[in-house]
Amino acid sequence: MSLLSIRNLHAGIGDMEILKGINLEINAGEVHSIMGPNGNGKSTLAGVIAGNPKYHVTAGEVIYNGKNILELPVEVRAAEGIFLGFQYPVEIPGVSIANFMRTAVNEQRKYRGLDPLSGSEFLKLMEEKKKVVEMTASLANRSVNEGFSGGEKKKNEIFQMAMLNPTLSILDETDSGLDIDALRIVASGVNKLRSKDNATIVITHYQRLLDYIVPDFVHILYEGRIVKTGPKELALELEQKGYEWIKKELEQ
Amino acid sequence: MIRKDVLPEALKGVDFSEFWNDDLVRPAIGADTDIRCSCNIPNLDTEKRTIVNGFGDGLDVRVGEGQLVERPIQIQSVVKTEYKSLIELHNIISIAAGAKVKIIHCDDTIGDTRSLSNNETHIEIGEGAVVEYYKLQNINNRSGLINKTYITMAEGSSLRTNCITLNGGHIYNHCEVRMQGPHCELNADGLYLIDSDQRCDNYIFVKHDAPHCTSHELYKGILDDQARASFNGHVLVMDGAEKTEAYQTNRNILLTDKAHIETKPFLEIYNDDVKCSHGSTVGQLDEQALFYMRSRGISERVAVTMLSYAFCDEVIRSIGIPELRQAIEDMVKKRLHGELLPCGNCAIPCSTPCNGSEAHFDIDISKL
Repeated sequence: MSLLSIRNLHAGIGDMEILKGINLEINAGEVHSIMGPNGNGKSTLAGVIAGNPKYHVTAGEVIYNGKNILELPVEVRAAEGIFLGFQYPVEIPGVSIANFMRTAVNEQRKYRGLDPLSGSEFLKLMEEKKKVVEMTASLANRSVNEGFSGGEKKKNEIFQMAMLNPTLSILDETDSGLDIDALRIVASGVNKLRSKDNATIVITHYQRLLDYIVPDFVHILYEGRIVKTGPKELALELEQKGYEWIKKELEQ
Repeated sequence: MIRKDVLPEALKGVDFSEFWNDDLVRPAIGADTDIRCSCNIPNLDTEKRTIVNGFGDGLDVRVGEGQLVERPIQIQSVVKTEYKSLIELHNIISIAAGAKVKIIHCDDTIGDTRSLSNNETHIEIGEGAVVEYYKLQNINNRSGLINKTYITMAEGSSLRTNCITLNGGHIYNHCEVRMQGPHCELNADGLYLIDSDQRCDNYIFVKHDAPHCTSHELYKGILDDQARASFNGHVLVMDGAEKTEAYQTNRNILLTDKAHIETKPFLEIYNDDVKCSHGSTVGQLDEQALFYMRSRGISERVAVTMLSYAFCDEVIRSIGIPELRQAIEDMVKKRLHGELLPCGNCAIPCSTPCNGSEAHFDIDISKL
């Protein structure tokens, strides 16, 4: 059984249909990359899987771990092991990262019937996971993403991923706004978290990120559909020939 | 019977009829009422009057010249009565030149009997004095509170004031500050958290009568259910008040469609050499932030509470007594969780039940 199975998914915002029949199977241990031009539905797909209420699903199903998750609230999907790394992480002034993460970790533990982590257990976990993305700053007094540079925000996303230890991670343009050093750190963080039990969907425009996070499959999402699927070499081909190549191929 | 004219001039347009038009409202006199207005003053040259009948009496707090009062002074006005009552308290706080003092002033009710308190506090701040004045309000849902504060500031004095409204049927905060000498500094913050049928009106008037004075106002409110609130701010900069800096901000979050806020920031300036700004916002909690938090596994209820608290944080952070700040943080969190009424309507959690005769405030002044 696949970890994630998306069948004929149609979704959009208001009356506008953005996803027009997505089919996708993902198994544990795999890394899938979704590429494609802007405005063709990559972020919508990520949002629909995570449960962003701004999107409406009009047809199809998303089966995760054997359950159709489309009716589940956002926080339940998260507690079931789905993580979304945001393209634009949200600033939350007045909520410290430590408090934010402690609440999230303990709410997820509660859902799974586990006791909450004590203060010292939590701090230990946080210090350990900070290393995944080479974070050095103290997080106790910093508000979530407030005043963070682009690189810090994305590192913070991967730090949160490390803290929550998800089964399915969807990273939405995690490489945007990163310089080459930050890209290396973020990618190496993602690689450290890879295991045979989890899966990752990497959404990106550029082949560059895939030099660091090597995918098992590359999908091209164009006009709301996955129009081509191939091995990691497909990303290279796409980089050389550009999206025009896909458009021409489709026209034929 | 209480005549309408006992209500102060300032209340034009603010309707308290629900509280005072009741047939049985009467002054709180006699053994069936227990109006406490007490004051905890460490080693201070002060006069303390005990309330006998809760009508027209009050405290007279005097801080002598150059006195540095290290521990905060706490004033408690606690209303405990079996009958609907009208209470009038007049307090005078006089702080002489060069003194330094922190005052915590709590308004509370014990039990849920309807009462209307009409309280007036005059604060006179001498030259170069440094004052912090915190007002905490936590009365039952059936009671009203008219809280009038008149403050004068002499040259070079500074005042930080923070008015925190946690609970009450109808609370009207009326504050007037007059900066009469140059180089005064005022920080006036406020926070109101109201729900159900509660109402909170805030009026703050700041008069810049002298040059080189600064005033910062920040009022924030969260309104739930069908609660109503208003902010009416008025900064008046006079002709001689050059180099004035005056900033006035009011921000509100409405958690429901039925909550109602009226906000009117207002500057009146008779001088060209000033820096002033005013503004107000009314909005909802940030949908994006809510989704972000929920996507990490935080339930919607907890996320709403965390965001609401984060909104309040800016006001709470400015409280200059760390222990008080901590206590207020806890109380605001409890309030946002809907847990701040552990004992009927007694809002500040006390160690004895509401039917006990003593009120023990959680904010234990001896530990500050």
